[in-house]
Amino acid sequence: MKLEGLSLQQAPPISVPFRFFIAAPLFGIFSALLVVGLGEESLVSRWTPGTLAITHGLLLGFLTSIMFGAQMQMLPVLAGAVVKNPKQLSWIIQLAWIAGVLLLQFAFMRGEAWAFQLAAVLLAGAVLVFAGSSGAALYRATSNIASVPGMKFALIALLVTIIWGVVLGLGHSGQLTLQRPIGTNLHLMWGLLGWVGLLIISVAYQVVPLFQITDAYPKKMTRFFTPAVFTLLVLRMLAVLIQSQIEANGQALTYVLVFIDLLLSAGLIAFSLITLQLQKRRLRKVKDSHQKFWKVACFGLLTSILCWWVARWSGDPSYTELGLFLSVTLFIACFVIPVVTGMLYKIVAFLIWFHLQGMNTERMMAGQPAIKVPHMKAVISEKRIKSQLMLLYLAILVTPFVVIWPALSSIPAGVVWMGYFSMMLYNLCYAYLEYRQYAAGKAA
Amino acid sequence: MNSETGEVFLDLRGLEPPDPFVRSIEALQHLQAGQYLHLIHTRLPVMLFPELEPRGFVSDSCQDVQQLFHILVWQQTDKAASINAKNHLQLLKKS
Repeated sequence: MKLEGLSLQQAPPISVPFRFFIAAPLFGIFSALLVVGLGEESLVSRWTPGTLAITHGLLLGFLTSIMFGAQMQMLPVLAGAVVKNPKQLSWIIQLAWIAGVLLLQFAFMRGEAWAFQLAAVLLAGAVLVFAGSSGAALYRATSNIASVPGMKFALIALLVTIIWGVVLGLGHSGQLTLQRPIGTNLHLMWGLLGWVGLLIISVAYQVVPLFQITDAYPKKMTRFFTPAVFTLLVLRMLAVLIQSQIEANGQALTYVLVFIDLLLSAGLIAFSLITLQLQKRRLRKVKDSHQKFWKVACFGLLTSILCWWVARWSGDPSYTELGLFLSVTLFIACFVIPVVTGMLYKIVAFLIWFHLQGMNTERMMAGQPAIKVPHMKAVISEKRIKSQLMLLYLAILVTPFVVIWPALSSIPAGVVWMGYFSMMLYNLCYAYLEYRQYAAGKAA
Repeated sequence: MNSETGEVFLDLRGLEPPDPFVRSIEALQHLQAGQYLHLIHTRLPVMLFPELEPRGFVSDSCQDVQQLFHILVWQQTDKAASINAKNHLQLLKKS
């Protein structure tokens, strides 16, 4: 059997992922500040400027920043896919991304056409550079792990999301007809289920068994699930677009859409239940907050799907609109943020250990004394992660009320989320400074 | 440890990263002449492989019917360990 290893030489410098990781909670804090500042107007409907600024701050500024950083570092680690010139690329991507997200938020709040146009150029440019470099790396990937196809589909989904985003941005700036609600719904679908959903699922195939010491996901699932979800998203987009053009076949296509939605929901429910089942039958019962973030996320996903179907079958259009908005809010706050937080802490601890261990190997070969390498669990203590988990429980408790009862709960929810992201920022900065101490051989 | 065959056995299943790596490196440091390390794991320990050559070790592996990986590691200069490890690997591949 050919044995291929994972060496430090394959991985980019630790500063590459960390600059994305540290920028992410800053966007989270800014989004939470917007919730506090706008008060009951912040998340009153999916169409208000405040809602759009907040959700894009969270999904682009917080989530996608982490995913950019994690993917640039974990592609070599998980998939043997080395990204070329990572330092230069990460600077280009991050500068364009930060400027693009802030401009987009400004554009939503002020309705400035030039800001929409410039934000579209910056964000699309950053995505193209990222997708080009990651896509090339995935194409060259030496590993045949189950995550690789899903990562490729997620990358394509990101491109489709940004294309719809640019179309909508040009609609906001008056250069195209604003494709509402069809364009917005498709943009949302590709962003949440395609880019975010497919990436989380494909990475779960690796990180859940690895870090939570569970059995592997069923082989049939790892082989067919992400291609199936991607195909359903393509079919759904086609059905929606055809339905909007051909009125005669509208009813038949409605049934097709319901059928696709049932399949997508069944798939996501199966993913959640299988993950919970794997956790329940863990090979080694170790007390670890990491798996609790995943547990919260699985229940969050199930609740979001339930809410979506209840809203859809509600007879009252205003309840339907409110329910669908609540479902998306739960998807982001109770599924995506917990899973990304849990993964982030594991990835950060692993990377710090991995880079220090790699340094020691280089020192050993050069005949130099070894530096101290902390255990992964000592990088960010279990106590700190538990505090983050407590804040998550609190945030999840108050978030649904921001949609249902905004007058009373918007400001408390904004404050709790601000605390959540601030704690994350502190923990990440602390971990990075600790790394610098260990790397310099100054750690006790 | 099996004193007749020179096998030093280490079960890495159920260990959270980076413990499989740390324990393997520790075990390698204590290998005596004629001995080889037999690791068993649910996945290939990809972190370990780049660390072997600089330390003067070589390895080979196979996967059994239960999909478990057997990784055998020995000192490059230790001929007795090499023969012992290769014989063991043959047996594992046949079974």
